[in-house]
Amino acid sequence: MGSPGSTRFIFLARLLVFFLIFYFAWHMLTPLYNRALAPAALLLVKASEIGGLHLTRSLQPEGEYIFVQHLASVENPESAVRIKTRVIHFDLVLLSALIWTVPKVSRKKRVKILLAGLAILFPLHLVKILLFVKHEYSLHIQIDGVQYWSPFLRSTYKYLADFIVLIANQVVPVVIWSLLYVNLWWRKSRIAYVKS
Amino acid sequence: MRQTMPKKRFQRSKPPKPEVGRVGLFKSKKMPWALLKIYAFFACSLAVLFVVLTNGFVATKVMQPFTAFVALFSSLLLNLFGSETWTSGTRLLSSDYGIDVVYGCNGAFATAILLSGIIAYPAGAKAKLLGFAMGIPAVFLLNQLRVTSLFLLGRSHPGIFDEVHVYVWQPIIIIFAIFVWDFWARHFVGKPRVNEVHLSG
Repeated sequence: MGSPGSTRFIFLARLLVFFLIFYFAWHMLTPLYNRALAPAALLLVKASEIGGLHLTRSLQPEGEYIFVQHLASVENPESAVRIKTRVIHFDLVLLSALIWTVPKVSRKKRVKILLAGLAILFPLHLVKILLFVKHEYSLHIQIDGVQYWSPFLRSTYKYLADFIVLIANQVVPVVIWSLLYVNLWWRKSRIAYVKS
Repeated sequence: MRQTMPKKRFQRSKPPKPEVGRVGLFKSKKMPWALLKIYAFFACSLAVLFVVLTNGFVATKVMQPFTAFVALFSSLLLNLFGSETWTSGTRLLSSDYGIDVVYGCNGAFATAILLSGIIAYPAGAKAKLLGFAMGIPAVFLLNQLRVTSLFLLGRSHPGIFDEVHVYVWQPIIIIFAIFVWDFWARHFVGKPRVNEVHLSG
């Protein structure tokens, strides 16, 4: 076993390698992931409009974007909301790289942890899309020249969108990673404790 | 004739379970609240710091001048290495290129993440203050490196500026914050005192 300094250096080096691998893999898989994300996000966005204004028509994945067609964009296609999804699911790269970097974990366990991480991130990505759509609607869509959303709702959507971009995108993968590994460490230690 | 002694019933001697200690954590079948409490505390601290940093008064009276200072410091660094740059508010300019150091790029939010980690970790007040004193300048300096390198990169390769800005530097900052936090926890706090939290919680 090396000194803590060298262990951390090795960890960093491994993290860099896995980060690059997953970064390029993510570049290639983004359109595929968007195809899975768009229909599920459409259900969520439409569900959020029950009892309110039914604006959303469709969510179409195109490369690294998801185009949100709404009531106004039927006549004016250029007004469709364009969501750059890489900002939404970039956390996949960091999470996957972190999971793969931790040493002394069997491949099977690692895959399980990765799947658990993805299972947590996927619904979070849907929520992010929902928030971005609401934020865009609240900024740009007017009905007969009048803003549909109250100033409070508009500022709330902006606030949440800022929180996602500035904080959540970086922190969430790290928190999920540490929680999954703390859970693994705790279960292992408990088994050892019970056996002893 | 053999004399038989009455057999002594073998008694398993159980080691006394320590009341205070790491093993105390493993009594429960579920992951202890003490560990989850640290995460909850971290999330709350982060939310509070985010609210403070995005508050209108703080944003205009503190963060705006601070962002201008970040741009100025970057300009000084660049000039030190032979570039001819100047600033105008939060904008960092040269004769052929310019960037605007926006609110999210001044390192304040990365610092908030680190500070939340320090606040949430079970340690004494003195150790936490030491963590603040060490963490804030560390993140500030790395952010200066980020702004300076992005300016140079944007001037020479504008096509990859956004890619590096969003997808390379952001993970670097968060990983750096984790390492600073880890360094602080190992050198200034010592062994984790989760057990004490468990008992008190």
